[in-house]
Amino acid sequence: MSKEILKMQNITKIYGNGFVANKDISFTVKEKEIHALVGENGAGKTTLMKILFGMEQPQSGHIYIDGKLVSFANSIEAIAAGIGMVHQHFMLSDSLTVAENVVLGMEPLNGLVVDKKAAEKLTQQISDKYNLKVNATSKVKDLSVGQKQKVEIIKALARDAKILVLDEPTAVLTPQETEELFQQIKVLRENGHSIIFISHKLDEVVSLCDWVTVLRRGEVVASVSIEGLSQQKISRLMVGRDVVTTINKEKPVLKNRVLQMENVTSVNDEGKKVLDNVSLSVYQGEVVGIAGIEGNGQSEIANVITGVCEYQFGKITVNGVDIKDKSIKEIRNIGVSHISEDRLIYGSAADLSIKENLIIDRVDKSEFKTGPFISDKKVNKFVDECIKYFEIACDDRNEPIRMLSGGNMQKVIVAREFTSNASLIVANQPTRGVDIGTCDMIRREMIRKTREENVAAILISADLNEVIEASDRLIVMYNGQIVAYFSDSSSINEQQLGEYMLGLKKMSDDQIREVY
Amino acid sequence: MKKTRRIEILFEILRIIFAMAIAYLLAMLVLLFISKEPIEAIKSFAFGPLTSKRRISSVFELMIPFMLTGTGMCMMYSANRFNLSVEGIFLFSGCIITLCSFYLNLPKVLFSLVLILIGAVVGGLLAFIPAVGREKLGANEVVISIMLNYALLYFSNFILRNFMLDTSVTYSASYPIKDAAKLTRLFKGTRLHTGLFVALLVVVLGYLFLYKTPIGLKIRSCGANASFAKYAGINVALYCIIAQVIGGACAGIGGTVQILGLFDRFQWDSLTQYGFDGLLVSVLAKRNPILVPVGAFLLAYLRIGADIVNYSTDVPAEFVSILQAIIILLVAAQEFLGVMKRKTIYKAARKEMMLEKGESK
Repeated sequence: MSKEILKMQNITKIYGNGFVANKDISFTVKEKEIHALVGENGAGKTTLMKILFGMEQPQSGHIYIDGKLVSFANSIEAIAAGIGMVHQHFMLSDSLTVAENVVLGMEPLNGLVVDKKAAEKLTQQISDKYNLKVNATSKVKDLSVGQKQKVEIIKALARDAKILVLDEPTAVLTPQETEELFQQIKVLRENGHSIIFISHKLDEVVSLCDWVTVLRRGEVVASVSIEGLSQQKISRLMVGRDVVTTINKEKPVLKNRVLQMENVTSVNDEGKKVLDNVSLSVYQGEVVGIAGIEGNGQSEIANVITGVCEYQFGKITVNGVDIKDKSIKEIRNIGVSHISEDRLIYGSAADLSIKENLIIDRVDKSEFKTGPFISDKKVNKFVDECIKYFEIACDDRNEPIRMLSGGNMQKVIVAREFTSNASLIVANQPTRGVDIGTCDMIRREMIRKTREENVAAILISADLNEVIEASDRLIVMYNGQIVAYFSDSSSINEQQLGEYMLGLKKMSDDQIREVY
Repeated sequence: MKKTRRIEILFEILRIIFAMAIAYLLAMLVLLFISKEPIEAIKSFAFGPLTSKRRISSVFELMIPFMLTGTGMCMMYSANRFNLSVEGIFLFSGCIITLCSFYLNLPKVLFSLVLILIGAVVGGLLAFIPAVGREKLGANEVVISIMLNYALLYFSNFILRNFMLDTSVTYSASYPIKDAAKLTRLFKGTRLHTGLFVALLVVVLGYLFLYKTPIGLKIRSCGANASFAKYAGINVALYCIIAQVIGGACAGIGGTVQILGLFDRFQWDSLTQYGFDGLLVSVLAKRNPILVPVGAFLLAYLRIGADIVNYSTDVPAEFVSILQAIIILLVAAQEFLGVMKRKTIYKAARKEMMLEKGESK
């Protein structure tokens, strides 16, 4: 029985908006342990870790490290106590080298100047010791996402982190990179570190971790050894009921072509080709999935179709209408709806009410007006139907949308985009950061609309399981190009997709052309 | 969560009450030191505006320009644009309608209405300048509008001197404005005029426009989150321009009503400050025109109280400016009473948590 290195006792955290994120949570990590922290979004994982890292102050509760009572006013104190955190979004300076990033804030000095040699030596030592395979002298901007994550780990290790928190480290990685990361995490454990591993992917939790703590609605519902636990058991603990993650869908019956992209090329402001000769057709009755590592052109496809970004070459038609130089509003009127990837920046206005967020794209329609005014009666009827159908948990249709949880906020956006009578739905990361129940509902509703209402849909997702399960046909993007096309999504697995996503493999032009 | 919202609203109101109370307390403290007759000064500051019919009516008189510029600023502020040309427009439209009034001959009431319309159009056109600068050329609307204010001031001086200066009076003023153009006084012995109804009408129309029409919702969505508005298919530049033009029109009506209601001649030779007061009112009103009369009343009451202190006691008028600053600061400061607000929210949340626990057991 190894000793307890971290003990968080009776932690309660209430946010300024009255949301109780942690209710009396107790959480213990032992030495040399890979400890999984799982739970739906909003269950309190991130809050608990922010408290551990000194970024949030709890209303009550104590933290013990190595048996000693500690309290952190900020992250600097937490780091000094031996806690390292690898955030989901990397905190790195792109224009500096790996070594410079690692020593930032603790630079070894040679007189008055930074001792670059010493910094590089330190970085390389750590990298080699834990087999992290990072070159200390490379610029961060030249690194892949997986390597940047390694730099974050080295940063924490350089500050003598005993306890390492990895917040959804595999969300941005391909299966191959994930495999490599797991090997390195195991090496860290051998070397005496404790790892807190936050993840949504239960297969990873089961294969990697020693112990698992499950949170639900801010409370600990279980803290048990992973031995003998199945994925199903953990997910039942997380959600409180059985979750069916596989979707049974009928074979699509393809009818008219809705979207046709022909040799579309888009160049961004810096002169980089973000879309390179992309050809693609989407038909009524089907969901076309787009997989790829973020930043390889998937979002750009969504943006050129919906009119948010321009394209310089090629042709895009929706329902037979050329959309070149049309405004976003005109394109929406032709029949395109758009769930954008960031619900806070593009999907909603936090201070406007649920009601206003739901009707913003259709206030001009006569069905919502009496004379020149918005008709409260007509609008309320529609809004209440949406709240009921999409099961939006709220007190009042007039409350600002910022008061809702992330999942419910997403439901409002989905409700708006799914009810706009569109013939093409472009869903860019529609389930990112949403709880399992909501994910399931969004996917099912999208498939139902294609099957029953003859809608065509594009699903862009970083969740490989989601694109495989929910789409009928599937393409893979790499570096602005389509590199693979599968006419039947159910025939492939994540491993195969990964090779195309990393650019290791590419199909022949003829094979790719079939998607057009 | 409903509870949280109630607490938030409660604290919004508390914040205004506390801000007023603190400012008044401070005022009294200061008065104790700088005045030989502090009790008298305090009394006339706090209750002076209520002591006579004339004083009460001056509070309402002063509310008229505050309501009009305040509603104007609510428009700009709702689109998240700080187009401060309201200040210059107020003055300039007063000048232009005076000039126009010499060339027109219309029956009473209609005359005033035509001039108000002219004032509104002039205001809208002028506010268009910084608006287009911002939306089409990317120039900061704050800078352009402040520069525009000075341009308007000197242009107005130029018009006064060259086209309508009455050399028969000893000060610099225009010829007398025709009686038919003027707004009617409401009561004998006071200067309160029918402009009050114009102002209230603008407030109500402003509210209906911003909160009940599709265009208003679009304007507010541009102000709340421009990226979101763009994704939803809204032409952000267009709606921000509309908001600023309408805001300018409100200010134009303000300048017109002020001249026609209170003055015999046009004689403004410096900026009136009513535009900036409008900004204060719109902050107090939280960008909602329906709350503008409340904000305008608070500010007018304070100003009249200060005037009374100034001419009936030995206290200088400047100290009221300081008080006003304190009130605005405390009301606008999101964090004032923030700790108390959060504590109340925590308590409510904790209580709910305990209740839930009790039920589940």
